[in-house]
Amino acid sequence: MKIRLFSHYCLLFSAALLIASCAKNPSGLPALTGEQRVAQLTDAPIVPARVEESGAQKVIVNLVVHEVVKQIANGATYKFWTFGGNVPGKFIRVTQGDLVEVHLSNPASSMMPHSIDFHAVSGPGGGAEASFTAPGHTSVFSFRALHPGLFIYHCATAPVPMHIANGMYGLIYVEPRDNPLPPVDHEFYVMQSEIYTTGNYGDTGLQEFSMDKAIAEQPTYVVFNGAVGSMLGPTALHVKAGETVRLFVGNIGPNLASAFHIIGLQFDNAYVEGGSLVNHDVQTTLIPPGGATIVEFKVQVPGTYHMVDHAIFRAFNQGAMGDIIATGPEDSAIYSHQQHYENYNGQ
Amino acid sequence: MKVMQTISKLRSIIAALTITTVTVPQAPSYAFAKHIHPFDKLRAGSSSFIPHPSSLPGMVRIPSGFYRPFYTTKGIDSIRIESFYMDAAPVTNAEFLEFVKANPAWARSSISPILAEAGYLKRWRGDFEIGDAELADKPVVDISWFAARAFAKWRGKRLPTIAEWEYAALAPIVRPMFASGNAKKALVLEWYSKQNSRQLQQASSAMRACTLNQNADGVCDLFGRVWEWVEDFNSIIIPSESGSNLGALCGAAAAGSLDPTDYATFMRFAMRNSLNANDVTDQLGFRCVK
Repeated sequence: MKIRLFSHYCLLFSAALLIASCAKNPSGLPALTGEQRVAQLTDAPIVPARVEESGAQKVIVNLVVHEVVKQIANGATYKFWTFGGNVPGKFIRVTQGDLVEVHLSNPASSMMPHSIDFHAVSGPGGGAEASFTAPGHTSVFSFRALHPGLFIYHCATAPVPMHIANGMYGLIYVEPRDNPLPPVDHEFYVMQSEIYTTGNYGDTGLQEFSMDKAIAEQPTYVVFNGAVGSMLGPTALHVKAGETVRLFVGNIGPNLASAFHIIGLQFDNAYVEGGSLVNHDVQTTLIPPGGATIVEFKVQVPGTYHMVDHAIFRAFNQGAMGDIIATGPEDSAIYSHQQHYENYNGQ
Repeated sequence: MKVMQTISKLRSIIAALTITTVTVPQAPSYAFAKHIHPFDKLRAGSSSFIPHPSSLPGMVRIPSGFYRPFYTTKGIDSIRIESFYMDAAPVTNAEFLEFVKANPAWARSSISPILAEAGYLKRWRGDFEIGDAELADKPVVDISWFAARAFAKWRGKRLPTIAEWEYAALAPIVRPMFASGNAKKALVLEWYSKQNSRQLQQASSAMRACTLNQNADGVCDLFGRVWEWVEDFNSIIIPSESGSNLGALCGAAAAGSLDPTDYATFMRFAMRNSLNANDVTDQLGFRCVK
């Protein structure tokens, strides 16, 4: 009997030890649940849905580099290097504390070695060296998503500016574990970038990268989501009046800061520089190159709302414009439209 | 007048080089002109060229001279390159087939993964058969450094060093148009951006006639056809603050390099740096020197 009791105590004691060791591992990181998932990755303007987790877990991110020719404007194409086949690269969504295991594959047909620098990584190069991958190979490395927020990732192989200018960038959102973003009706992924070509804006055919223009910081194009008109006309973003919208906005540059603005509304919340500071009632929010921001707003009345870089020549002459089209009933208490129009004879 | 000035300037540069490179290493001095190559200066402005007479079939002579390493090393400004012979064109599938036939240990089904990873000669139909006639005169790709080296040895040749390859690459382009200096940098960058499609689509019949370009030494298709293995491909420790190889990445690469605007050369160094000796890729071939 005594022996049995003792063995029970032993069991209890070791169970308690186990629980204690599960709560925190020696480095103070949240313990992993032992579950793992493969991250759902999306192309702009789609954002992956938030995943409910019982605790921090391993999240596998599979990224494949594709060197592809894509349209940058009507009749103009460009040879992009991409994370996942599109510009911008895939959107990744994880939760703070997750162990992110990155698998970067570079097909044998690629011309270049590539790599990835996640601004969400706490470690040298953001993973650049760990992920340096020759054509025909796959690199694997892991990092803990310690800081919540919206972060850029980009290729970091020399010549880095060219790898970035050629389309190798995207966003990773690290959701705060204890206070996730409140639900909204729509979430979208928007990324601003510059394209430097030897030809002029409007030239047709395959356009070549211009190192001279890139060094002079004089882009031919400034665009959202990789091309002029990526969110105009048939590909505009659609919502209903009265709905709430959240935009995850990145600016890869490579050179210019974005004065991000939506004509005809205000941001209820602007997560300054993509971090934890939230500003309210904002007209235009500044996004530095290599930075990001989250904006939330309610579209009050129907109509077309233009997303622009309010350095306005970029919107008018270089392509930095995208549309959000809201449908639904008018609310004249908020906005009247033109009520009266008449001749004016005064001086 | 201007020409005279240029010539006298050149003479002083060459004199300076001759004197200061007698002993290596030495105290760094960065007063030299960049990328000194006899042709780059002496032939500037001329679109005509006379390849050096070579008694070795398919090879051209590269004259001796000085090379300033792209990634600068403390104490070494330039290194003397002795004259050597370089294959005028990259090694073709047909040439490589002869080697495999004579050395069956290097056939696809016999080779150890230590010497060449999966994908070795994957476009060939069989161990001793290329299959696609189009491929025969195209540069061989999907070969490892070990295989390239074995081929060179079998031919009584060797792979060029990084310094030799880059030194040869300094000569101005003479076909399809004359280009040196910044114009050449831009041209090579443009060719690189098309490399992938060119390699796959170029008609084979034109191969021997220097399909894409030729430089003043008579070397063909150094740029924009395939990347090329070199003997010491992984020997460059690109400088970085962390002391690791991070310099091949990030902005640090520019800080330790001779010319931060020479993007094409950055690409070659990044490519070489990413490789292991048993790697094979679709864009990577080689040529030999002697």
